Amino acid sequence: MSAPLHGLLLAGGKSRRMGTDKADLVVSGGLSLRDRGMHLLAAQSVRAFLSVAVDDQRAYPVPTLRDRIADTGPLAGLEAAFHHAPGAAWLVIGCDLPFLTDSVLRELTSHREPSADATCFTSRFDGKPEPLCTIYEPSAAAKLDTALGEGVRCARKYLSSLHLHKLELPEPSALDNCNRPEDLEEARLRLANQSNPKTIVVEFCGKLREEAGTRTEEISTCAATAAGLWEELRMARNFSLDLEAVRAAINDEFQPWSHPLRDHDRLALFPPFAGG
Amino acid sequence: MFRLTTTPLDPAALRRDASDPHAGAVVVFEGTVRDHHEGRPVLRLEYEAHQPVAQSEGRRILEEALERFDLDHAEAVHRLGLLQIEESAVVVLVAAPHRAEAFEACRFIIDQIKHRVPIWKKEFYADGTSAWVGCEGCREAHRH
Repeated sequence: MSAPLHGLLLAGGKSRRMGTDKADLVVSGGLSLRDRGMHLLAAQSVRAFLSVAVDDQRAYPVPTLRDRIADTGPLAGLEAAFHHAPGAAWLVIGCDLPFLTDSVLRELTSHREPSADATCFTSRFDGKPEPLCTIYEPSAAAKLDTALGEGVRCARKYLSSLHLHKLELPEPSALDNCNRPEDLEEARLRLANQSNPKTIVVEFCGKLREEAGTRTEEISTCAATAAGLWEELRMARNFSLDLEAVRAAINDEFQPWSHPLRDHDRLALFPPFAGG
Repeated sequence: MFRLTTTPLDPAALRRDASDPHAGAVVVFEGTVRDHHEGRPVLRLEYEAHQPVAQSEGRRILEEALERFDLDHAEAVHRLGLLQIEESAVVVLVAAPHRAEAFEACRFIIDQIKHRVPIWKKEFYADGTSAWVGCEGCREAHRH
């Protein structure tokens, strides 16, 4: 006998890197990420709630769960949900997943394993469990209180501590998220079907060359922009630098990260300069 | 105008080449390898560049200097490869009719080179370790 399943859309983040509330953004289909996420949950025939931050005073036309703890990230949303309905299981999704589809969510709900603490997908980048498209069973609630009491703020760290039923992602990029304006442009182009497979010659420079163990490499990718390919490479190779610290040149010209990639482009990745 | 080279720099030769009867001021900036970085003894260092972009960006900086200031001559050479302490890493040479413009333009060029030209520096320390300068603390604090 499994617990009833509710839905929770996490939309209480600070969107610090995006510079504007991510949930308000329209990436495709004319719906904000908030409205799109609520539709996705509703399509799974669950009672869907919108998770918002402690200090969010806006009125929403949907059932809303306000965080009870400030500055705690996505785990505060799950805490508020378990507090609201302790006997329920929660299908939790982040609002910044523009590639998440009905069929991917159906894959999750149809393979739900109520005897585990959580049913989740694993990351296409590092194989680790993905905390923001996950079914959390009631047995995960007490462990959440313990984790929060121990100061855990990282949703992935909490999820990794649970007894998990893990699933392969049916679409590899379904959980690619959007944290920056550059990610948004990548998502828009990919959703507009401008993400054909392509071969890019990547040139690693300075510290990145050392970390990559090579100066140039041909990479096959479906990334639409330089930012998309950088994000793939950074996750797969665990580079020590972040997008903000790195600059891109395409075919020997500096370009913004949102610059589209074409087949056989050469992308050079520049760590912070230190000439002189 | 702008050059990258793996051979030792010769500021005196550059100075001779810049000789110009119209110029009343010549300013030469020479950046040299020092034996310490943030309190750590440095043994030597290594520069590398992305040559095509470094060349074009360096050329652009000198063109900008010639547009902004009243100059007779502007030149910059950056060394690449392994460098020992006291060797020259970069030389900027500016000739102008008057000293104020020459000083200002020289400062402009070296500052722009540091900010805009894709050159990287790896320092080798006395304790056997090494580090890429400018990359400290770049890793984002945390990601979800």
